[in-house]
Amino acid sequence: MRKLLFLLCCIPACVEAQTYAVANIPDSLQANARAIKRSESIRMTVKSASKAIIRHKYAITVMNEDGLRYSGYSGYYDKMIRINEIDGKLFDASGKEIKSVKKKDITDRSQDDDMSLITDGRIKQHRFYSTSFPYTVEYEDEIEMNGIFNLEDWMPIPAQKYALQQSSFTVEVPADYGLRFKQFNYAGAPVVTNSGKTITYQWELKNVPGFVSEPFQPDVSQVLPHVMTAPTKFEFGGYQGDMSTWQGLGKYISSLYVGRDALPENVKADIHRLTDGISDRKQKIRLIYEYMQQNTRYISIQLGIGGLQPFPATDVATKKYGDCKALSNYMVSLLKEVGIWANNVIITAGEGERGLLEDFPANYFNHAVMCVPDAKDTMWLECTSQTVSAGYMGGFTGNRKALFIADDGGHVVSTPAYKAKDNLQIRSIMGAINPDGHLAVDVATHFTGQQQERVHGLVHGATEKEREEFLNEAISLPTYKLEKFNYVETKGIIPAMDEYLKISAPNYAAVSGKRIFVMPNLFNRNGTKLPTDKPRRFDILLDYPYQDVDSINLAIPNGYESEAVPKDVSLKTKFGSYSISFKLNGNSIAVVRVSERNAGLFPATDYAALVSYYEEIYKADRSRFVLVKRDVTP
Amino acid sequence: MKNFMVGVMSCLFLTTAIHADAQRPNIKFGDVKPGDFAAKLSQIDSNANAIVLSDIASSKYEGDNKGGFSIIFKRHTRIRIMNRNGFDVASISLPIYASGNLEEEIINLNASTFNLENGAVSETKLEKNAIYKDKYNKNYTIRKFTMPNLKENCIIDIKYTLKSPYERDLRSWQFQGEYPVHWSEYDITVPTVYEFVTFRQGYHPFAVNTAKTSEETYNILLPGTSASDRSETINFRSTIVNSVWAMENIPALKKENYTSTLKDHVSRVDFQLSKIRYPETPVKQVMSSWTTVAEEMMKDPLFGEGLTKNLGWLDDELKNAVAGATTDLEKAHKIYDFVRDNTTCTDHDAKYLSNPLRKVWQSKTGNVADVNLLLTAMLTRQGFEAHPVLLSTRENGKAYEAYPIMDRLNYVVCQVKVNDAPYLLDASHNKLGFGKLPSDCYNGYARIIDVLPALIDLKADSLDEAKVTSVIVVNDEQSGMTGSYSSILGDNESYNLRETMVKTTKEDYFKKVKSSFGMDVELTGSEIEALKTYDEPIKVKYDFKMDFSEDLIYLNPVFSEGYKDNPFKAAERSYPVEMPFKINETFVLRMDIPKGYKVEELPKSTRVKLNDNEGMFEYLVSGIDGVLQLRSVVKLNRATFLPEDYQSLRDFFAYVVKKHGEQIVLKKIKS
Repeated sequence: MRKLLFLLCCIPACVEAQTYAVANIPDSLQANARAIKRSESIRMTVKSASKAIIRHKYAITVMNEDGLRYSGYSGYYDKMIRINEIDGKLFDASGKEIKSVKKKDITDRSQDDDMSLITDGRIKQHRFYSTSFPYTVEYEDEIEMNGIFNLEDWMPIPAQKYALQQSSFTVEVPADYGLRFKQFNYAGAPVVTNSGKTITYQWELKNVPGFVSEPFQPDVSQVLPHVMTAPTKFEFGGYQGDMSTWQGLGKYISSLYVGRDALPENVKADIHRLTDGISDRKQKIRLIYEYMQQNTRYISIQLGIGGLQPFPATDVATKKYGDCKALSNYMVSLLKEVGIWANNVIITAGEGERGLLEDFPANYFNHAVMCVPDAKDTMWLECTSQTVSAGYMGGFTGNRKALFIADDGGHVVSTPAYKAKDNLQIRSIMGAINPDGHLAVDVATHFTGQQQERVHGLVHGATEKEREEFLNEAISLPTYKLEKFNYVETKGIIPAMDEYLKISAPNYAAVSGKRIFVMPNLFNRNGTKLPTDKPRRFDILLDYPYQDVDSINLAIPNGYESEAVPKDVSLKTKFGSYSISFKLNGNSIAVVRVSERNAGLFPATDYAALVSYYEEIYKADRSRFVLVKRDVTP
Repeated sequence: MKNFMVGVMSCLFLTTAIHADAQRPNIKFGDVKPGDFAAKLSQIDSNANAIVLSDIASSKYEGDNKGGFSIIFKRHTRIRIMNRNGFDVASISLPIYASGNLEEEIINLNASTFNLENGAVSETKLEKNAIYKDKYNKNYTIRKFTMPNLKENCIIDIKYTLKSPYERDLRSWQFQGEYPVHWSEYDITVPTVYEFVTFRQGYHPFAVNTAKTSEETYNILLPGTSASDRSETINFRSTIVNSVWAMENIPALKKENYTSTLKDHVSRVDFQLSKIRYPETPVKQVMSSWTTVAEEMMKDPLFGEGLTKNLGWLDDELKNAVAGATTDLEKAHKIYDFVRDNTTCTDHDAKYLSNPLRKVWQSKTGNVADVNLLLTAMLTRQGFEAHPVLLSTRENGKAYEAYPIMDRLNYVVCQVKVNDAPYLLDASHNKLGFGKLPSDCYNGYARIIDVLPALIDLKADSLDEAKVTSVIVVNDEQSGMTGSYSSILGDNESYNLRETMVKTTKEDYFKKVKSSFGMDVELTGSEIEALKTYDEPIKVKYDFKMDFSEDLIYLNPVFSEGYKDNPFKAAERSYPVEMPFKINETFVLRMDIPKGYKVEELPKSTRVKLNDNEGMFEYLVSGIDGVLQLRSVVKLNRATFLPEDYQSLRDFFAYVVKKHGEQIVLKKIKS
């Protein structure tokens, strides 16, 4: 009888132990995995247009040190999002419970993101510190949203080398709520149950092995299972809206901007003084844009509804700062003063971001710009930069769909897309190599569009001295001295930057006895060598098109002749074209390199072709001349 | 070079001004004149995005209503912002500390922006509602604001008073910063109740450096101890010492590579309380000798108290830890591994326990003091002679050898003696071996906390990072050649590779090796030995096959192991070069001349010295009897170099890069 009792007591423990035992993970999931999500349940209960509760429970087995980043809990909250509860446990490899979360071990700090002067975002964090891998952490929290502008997304696999045993996503909404959702890389449809009062949607995924990232792959959110959800009618910060159409979402945003376009008299006077009497509309816009740039700076303050609603234009005018929304709204207000109608545009900013998906209205946005619409020549303006050219969007906001805010609501628009001929790097190198292998060159480079962005930053973000210090460290030559440098900017819709460098590089060419080895392609060597050992899984994304042209002329010392002249290469593929030619004309090496990249999404089956394309470029870019001293004895 | 100047400001003996020259400017808040916007730029201002026109502060003691003193810190900063790139200087964060009911408070904050408009100065005040409060964490609240109405060539004035109840903590002052400073001044007035030692560092001279004494009466409110007990104000008359330091035209601080920390080079003054003389009580020695400090540290519940007391709870753990060990060295070793492998260090900047040792062990986590004091306790309990050792990491800056200044120290390790041989241990890094310290600890010296607090020399100049690589290539049976590569890495590189291997696999690592070859090779037998044996250096080895068919072969005999880039690219240097260790790299090649080829050309052998005997580069190459041989040694005999020696150091590496780029030419024998 005693024995039986003992057994009975043991049962619940054993059951639990089995749940998270590492032995229960199928081998197929352990391969490549630094962490394995054992189970997950996200349950979002939408109570009303402004209130939702999200219960999230998940268990992750951390396989090794590389998986440490998945071992903790991190929960965001602010004035409108509350964390009601945090709970958690630590289990060893056998599935035995070791520890549980103690309230005092949960840290609470301000979000302080470096970008903002102030936000009301805060973060609660917890971590069990265990060193005996593998182990399992289980966390559970409840979040209460008081105000809905976003609903929860489900992306059960967050990154590479992360396997998934089971995850489910359940959304319960009032029967008349009109939940909208969009699935990516998810086979089948959610299980829908209707209780009369509420409708419940459920997605589930099981047993997905970890994957390994591949070069040039699209963002994980586009290639992994992902479900986005969004409301129809919603309420956020005391304002109501309907985001089932872009127009409705735009209307909501537009209501937040109402009455925020008034300008103080002195600013009105400034604007008129600046533009009255100028008839060219474009010129007017440019002048006002430059006025805005000279009289403001970017300072981010995100408090409550202030995440969506701009500071009034009067505040920007007097304080001379604002965030992206406030500055864009200010610019719209300035233009309005001289009778030019312009519009705020909200957008997903960031290099390589794809922007909103037209068929699924939702909140994709993290930035605001503005534009002056015109039937054939719309002018786009980024208002957080004090130096960028009027009309230039660049890699940060160009080439994507965004939401144009008008009085009648939102409209999807496309920002300018830049082509290879817009993104140029045309370089001419003239120089000489002496018999000791010392190199002296003049380098003149014309950068445009996205290829000038880095140089633009160097010119506007650094002092002359800092530029000199930077250039003295940054050029890829073994040892060198920057003798002179100069930059000239040409503003425009496609801005350009001309760079001139005078460089001396001792011992650039290797001299061995009577031979000199010269790699004439000094600066533009493609460094991409693609791995070939695993079959390609993901499609290939080449994110922006560009063209590079390098013309190199290097004089060589008298009395040398070529022992080896590199072979010319010319390639034309769907990814782009490349050619390089090498000549020795008398005492001068002449090289012309032309490389153009096509942007686009290419099927995974094209990978082998991409590998060999880059392989050939890699080799050709490193081609060497071998010069040998002519035998003078007859 | 006068790097560190340490002066004891002994209040009793300084009765007259010791030094006074430059005129102290009298700058009033808001008193900005049109001429200030057009002031000529001096040498140090050219190229500056902002110029600090004046930065004037004072710390003054004041009697408070809690029976003691508070410190009133006042600061007035005036900055001229030259262009938009200097606008960042106008966003200010003021951290305010609080712990328990002792809170710092800002009692006055005024700030204005001044612009020159049509010849007249206009003022825009910072509005009170534009000052934000960010509750950063338990102890810190940050007051944040940004100045309004900034224009290029504007002047901002910021003035505040901060009241601190932490009367032992006299604020330090930094004269130098990111921007050039025209006038920086710090004025402190301290009653002789408190005696501080002053530390001055940096390369810039003082324009004012005075100290004088006078008398002052402090009103201190003694609160009643109970409701019936009335509070009482006492008038306390004390001698006071007023010291003023100022600097003029201080250039901006500059970042350079191979500097252990800029903190060591910035011009500043720091203070350390040494004595307290309350009236009618014996003098309280706060900072004294290392012997006393060590004794106090050993009794401190936050440091040494738990190292010897009530450690019975460790016995079971120790039994597990030393199981199977026979010798003392094995036992010490196993205890070290046990602590290292079972704890996580979350903070490598701490010298006090965050929890009692038992708690540390239960939670298996803590700061570096927690972890290494736990290690010390376990070793002691096992019967070893073990002591904590205090030091300052390179990142934290130099500590003073002579003075027991706790503020300067930020790291704890452990010294254990096994059979009379001392070993320094650090269990806070999970991939460190027995008897090894991270290179960040090599910052001058460390101090043993024991009855005799001995000094341990820990100079980067004494840390040798030795790497030996050898490549042997032979003609194989067929037409090709077979090579074998092996490299024994230095401690630091071994440690870094161990960290790298957490995130990558052996396969991926050797894939990179293969692609770095520059020619098509086939790798076999690749191995990273001692990857998990942290006490030993890592050995990387692999075999490779290569094939030659061209008429001429151009071969770099150091393969991809050579220096391709000069580590000292910058043409100029203002601070000393402080490398973390001494470089000592040997590369040896022995290669059969491929069948059917002869040597056409060999690079010249050479041997050069750096500045007498501070370094050496040897490149010896030969090709006789069908065998190519090369030996390359790059060796520095010190890790730190003065700015004067920078050019020769740079030239030395330029020469290494040049030689490492040279080629052997082999020619096919015509049949």
